[in-house]
Amino acid sequence: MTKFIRKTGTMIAAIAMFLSFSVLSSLAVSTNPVQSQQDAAQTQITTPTSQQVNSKLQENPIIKDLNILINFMTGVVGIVVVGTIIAGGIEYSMAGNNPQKVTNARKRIANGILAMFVFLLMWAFVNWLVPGGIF
Amino acid sequence: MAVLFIAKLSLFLAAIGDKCTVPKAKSFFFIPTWWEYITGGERDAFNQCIPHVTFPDGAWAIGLAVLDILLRLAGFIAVVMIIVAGVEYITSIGNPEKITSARKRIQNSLIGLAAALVATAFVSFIGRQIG
Repeated sequence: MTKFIRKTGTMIAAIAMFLSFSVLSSLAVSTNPVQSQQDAAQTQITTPTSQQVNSKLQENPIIKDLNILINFMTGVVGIVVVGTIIAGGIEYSMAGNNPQKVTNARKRIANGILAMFVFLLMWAFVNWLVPGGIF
Repeated sequence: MAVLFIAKLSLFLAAIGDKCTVPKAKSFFFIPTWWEYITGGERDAFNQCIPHVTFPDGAWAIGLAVLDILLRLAGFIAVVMIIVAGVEYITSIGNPEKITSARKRIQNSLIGLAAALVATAFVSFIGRQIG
C-alpha cells in the first residue's frame, strides 16, 4: 500500500511537471503573435495587466484540463491519505505488545503523511510555475 | 435460475424511473452505510429508491462514507483492545511480564485511537471543502 502511494505520488508529480511545461511552451507560442498583431493594428504599445493575463490563462484548454485534473487528484489524495492514517491507527490499536507491528503501523502513518506533503509541494510548485497562478 | 437472476439484476440496474430522496437506512451497530451522503435517488422496477451515483461527486460521497466506516471500526477495535488488556491485567496476578504486556497493549490502543481521531479532523475538513 505504501509503495503504491509513493509510486502514485511520484507519477502525479511527473505528470503535473510535464503538463505545466507544455502549458508554458504553448503560451509562449500562442499568445505572443496575437498580441503583436493587435499592437500593430492599434499602433500603440500596451502591456497586458495581470488580470488580462489571468483571463487569457483561464480560457486556455490546457489550463482548464489541468484545473480539472488537479482538483480531482486533490480529492483522491485526501481520501487515500486519511484512509491510510485510519488504517495505521487500527493497526496500532491491534498491535498489542508486539513491537514489530507497532513499527509497521508507525511507518504506515508516516508514509501517509509523507504522501500528503509530496502532493502539497507539487501543487505549490505548479502554482508557482504558471504565471498568475492557475487556481 | 442464473438467467432469472441476471434478468432481475438488469431490472435493478436498468429500470430507472422518477427521482426520489433515498430514505435513511438503519445503521448496523452505529456503522453508516456507503450511501450515507448520497441523497438523490431514482426509483427502480420494484418502486424502491436506489441511490443514484454521479461520477465525481458521488465518488467523493462514497469515499467519505467509507472513511466514516473505517473510523467507527477504529473506535470499536480500540475499545475491544482496552477491554482485552484489562482482562490481561486482572489475570496477571502480580506477574510483572504480564502487567507490562497489558500496559503496552493499553498504550498502543490509545495511540492508535488518537491517530484515527486526528484523521477525523481531516475528514471533516475535506467534507466542508467539498460540501
